[in-house]
Amino acid sequence: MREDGVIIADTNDGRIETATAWCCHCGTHFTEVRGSGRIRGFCMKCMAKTCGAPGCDACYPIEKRLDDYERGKLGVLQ
Amino acid sequence: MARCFAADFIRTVNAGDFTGYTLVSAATVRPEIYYIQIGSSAAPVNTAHLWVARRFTAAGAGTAFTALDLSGDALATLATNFHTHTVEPTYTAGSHLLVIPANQQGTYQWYAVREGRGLRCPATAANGIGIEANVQGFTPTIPAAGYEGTVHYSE
Repeated sequence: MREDGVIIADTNDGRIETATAWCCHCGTHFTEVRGSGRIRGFCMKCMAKTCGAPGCDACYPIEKRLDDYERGKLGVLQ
Repeated sequence: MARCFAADFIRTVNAGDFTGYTLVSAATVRPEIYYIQIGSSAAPVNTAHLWVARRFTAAGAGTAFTALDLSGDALATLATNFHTHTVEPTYTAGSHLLVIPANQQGTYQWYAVREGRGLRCPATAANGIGIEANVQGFTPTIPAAGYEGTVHYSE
């Protein structure tokens, strides 16, 4: 799948580029490191990746979260 | 079509000030950060920390500055921009939208590849996203040297 973001680091050791993925539920960008043991998810309704945080397991898209937060229906936006 | 703006911020070393930049939203707009660049023009120091983009619910107090229009339509931004905070924003726990491990001697960029997948702020006054310096465990810290950076956002 295509990346959602890119981090570019220019250091004394040269340039390092890494892709970031976007969580469709909380809007977080995270890096996926093969073998890290971090469990990520995939929402079958949104058909997009999730960050793996427990609050992102249930389908609650970031657009709806923003709408609910703006209307006062959601107390904390994470 | 979304209007785009560039915000260049300077973060000098300031006791008690962990935040480098804040983008404060308004009830009329939902800003989205799609590009961040951070580096330091100070004398090289071999120190490491984290740059963390986090949500906040209260803007704190800082030096306001005007973002530059990138769209060419000469309209002012509805969101507001601050740097050199004297009062930290009230960050939301666990709202780390982007974490970049950094060394003071390096320059770091992040950008969203696709529209709509940047760091989005709610259309709520005094809410927004701040870029804060942390160390391991996400403990706020004051970097040893000053930093400068650029944020591009759309609204």
